[in-house]
Amino acid sequence: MTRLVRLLQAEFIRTLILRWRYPLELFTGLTVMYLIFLGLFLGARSLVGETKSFELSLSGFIVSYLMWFFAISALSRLTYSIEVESSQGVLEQIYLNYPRYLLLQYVRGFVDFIEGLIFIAVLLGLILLTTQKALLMDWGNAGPVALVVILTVIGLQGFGFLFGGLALLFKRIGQVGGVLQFGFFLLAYLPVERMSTAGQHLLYSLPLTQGIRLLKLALVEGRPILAAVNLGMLSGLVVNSLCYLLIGSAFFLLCEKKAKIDGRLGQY
Amino acid sequence: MRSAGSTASAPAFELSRLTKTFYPLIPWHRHRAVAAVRELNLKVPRGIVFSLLGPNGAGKTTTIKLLAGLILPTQGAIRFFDVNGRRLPHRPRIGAVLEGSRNVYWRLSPMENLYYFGELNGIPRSEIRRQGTELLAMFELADRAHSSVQTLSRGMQQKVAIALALLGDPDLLLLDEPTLGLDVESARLIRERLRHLVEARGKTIVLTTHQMELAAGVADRIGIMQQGRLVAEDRLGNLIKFFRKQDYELELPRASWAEVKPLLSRLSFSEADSEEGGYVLVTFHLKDAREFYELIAPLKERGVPLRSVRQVTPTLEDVFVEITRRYRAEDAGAGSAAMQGGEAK
Repeated sequence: MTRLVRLLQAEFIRTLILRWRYPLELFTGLTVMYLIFLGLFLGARSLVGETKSFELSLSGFIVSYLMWFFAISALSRLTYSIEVESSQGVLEQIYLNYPRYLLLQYVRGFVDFIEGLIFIAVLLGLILLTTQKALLMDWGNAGPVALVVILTVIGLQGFGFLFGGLALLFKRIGQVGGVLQFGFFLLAYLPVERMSTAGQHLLYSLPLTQGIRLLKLALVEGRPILAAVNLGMLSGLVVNSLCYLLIGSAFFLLCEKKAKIDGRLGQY
Repeated sequence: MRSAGSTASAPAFELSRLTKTFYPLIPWHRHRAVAAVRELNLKVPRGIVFSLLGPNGAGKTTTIKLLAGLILPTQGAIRFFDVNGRRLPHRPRIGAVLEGSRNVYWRLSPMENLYYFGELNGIPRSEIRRQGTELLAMFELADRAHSSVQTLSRGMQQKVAIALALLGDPDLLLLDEPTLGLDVESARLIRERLRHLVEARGKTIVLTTHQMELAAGVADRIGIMQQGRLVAEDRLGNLIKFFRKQDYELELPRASWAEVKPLLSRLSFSEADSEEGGYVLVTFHLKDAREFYELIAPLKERGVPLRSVRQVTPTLEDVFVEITRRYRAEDAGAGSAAMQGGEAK
C-alpha cells in the first residue's frame, strides 16, 4: 500500500513538473477544446436558432461534450505515453525499474483523471460563461454523479488498454486513436434512448453511453441517479466498466508478453 | 573448453543454452525468423567487467536484454546467484543503460529523473537523495543536477543514464555501448568510474561495445559473439597469447633492404614505407624459430643497420578480426565450430 502511495506521489510530482515547465501544452489543449465547443455551439445555434428546444438540449450537449473529453483523454493517454516513451527509450528503463507496468498505468490513469477533472472544471467554467447556461446540480446528487463519472472513466480507460496493448506491439497507432475519437464523439451525441431495443442494447454495451445517459438524468432532467428506476442502468454501468477494465487489462498483458517475446518493447 | 583464466569466485549469473529466435508477427512469414542468440553458454564471475564484442547483428544487445528480462528467451535458462553462490529465485536488481542518452526523461532534470525512477524502485527517499547527490558528483554533474536533461550535452546525458543505472546500488550493471559518441574526456571518465565500481564496490558489469580500446582498457574478460554464438571467451591476455604470432617488424634503410630482399624471398613478409625518409618497415610473418634464424643470418652476415626491431603483439582488434575471420571460415566449412577459452571447440 505504501508502495502504491509512493507511486502515486511520484506520478503526481512528475505530472506537476511537466505541466509547470511546459504550460503551453496545457494552455493549447484547453484552447483547442474550448474552440471546438464554441464551433459546435455556434454552429448548432445558427442551424436551430435560439429556440426553446435548443435551450433544453444545451445542457445535455454540454454533458456529452465534457464526457467526450474524458473519452479522448482515456483513449489517447496510454497509446500516446507508450509511443512517446518508446521513442525516447524510457519505456525499457521503466520496465527495468518497475516490471508491473500495468499497475503503473492504473496509477497514471488515476493521476490523469484528477488532472482531467481540473481541466474539465476550467473548461466547464468557460463553457457556462459562454452559453450563459447552468447545469441542474442537486448537491445531494453530487456523490452519485461523481460515482457515474468515475465508473464511466474506468470503462473508458479499460477500453484504452486494448489500444495500449496494440501500441506496445505496433507503436504508432495514433491514426486509430483519431478515428476512435471521432467515433466516440458520435457515440456521445447519439440519442440512444430513442433507438430500437436492439440498437440500445448494442450501444449501451459500448463504453461511455450508459454513463452519459445517467449523467443527463441527473444534470439535465434533475432526477436522482440512485432512484430505484435508475439502479438497473447504474448496475449495468458497473458491469460494463468492470468488463472493459478486465478485458482491456488482460489484452494488455497478452500484448506485453508478445512484445517481450518479439523484442518489441524498445523498438520504435 | 573453459580457459585457464577463469576465476574460482562465485558466479554473478550463468546462461545455459540460451537461445533467442525472433519470429515475424505474420505466421506465414515464419521462414524469415532471425536467430539472434544461439545456444549461449556462459558463466560470468562476480566483481568483473565482462565485455561482449561482436560485429553488428552478432546478438550482443539481445543477450543484454535477455539478461535484463526485457526479452523472453526462446529456449535455455538464465540463473542469477548471490554473493555466496546460491541461486537466486528471482532476477536481482539490475541497472542498465540500453539506449545511451535516450534512457532518461529529457524534460526532467537529472535529480528529478533519479527521484522518479528511485520511487518506482521503492528506494527510500532519503537514500535516493544521498545516492543521487553522490552519483551526480561522481559523474561531475553536481552543478547541472537541476537543469533539464535536454539542455545537457550528449556526454552529460549519457552520464545521467549511467548514474540512473547505478541508483539503488545494483549488483549487476548492463551497459550497451556506454561510451558511443562521447568525447575522449567523457569516455575516459566513464572508463575510470567503471573500473572503480568493480574494484572498490565489487559490482559486476556486462558491457557491449564496438570500441576495442574501451574493452581492452576496462574489461577483465572478453566474450566475442558472431551470428548469435559466443565464439570466444577468455581473459584479454589469454586471447592475445593464443593469437600471438611470430611476427617481427624491422625498420631498415631502403638500400639495405633492396640488397637482402632476394635472400629472404622464401619468407613471408609485407613491406611499407617508414615515416622516416629512406627507411622501410618490413613485417615478417614467421612460422617457427627456424625461420627466425633464417631471417637473422643474412642480416647479420651483411651487417645490415637496423633502426628498430620489435615483435608484433596482436591488439584486441587484431584478435577480434582474427577470431571473426576464422569463425566465418569455419562456419562456411564445418558449420558449427566454436571457440571458447581461446581454443577451437
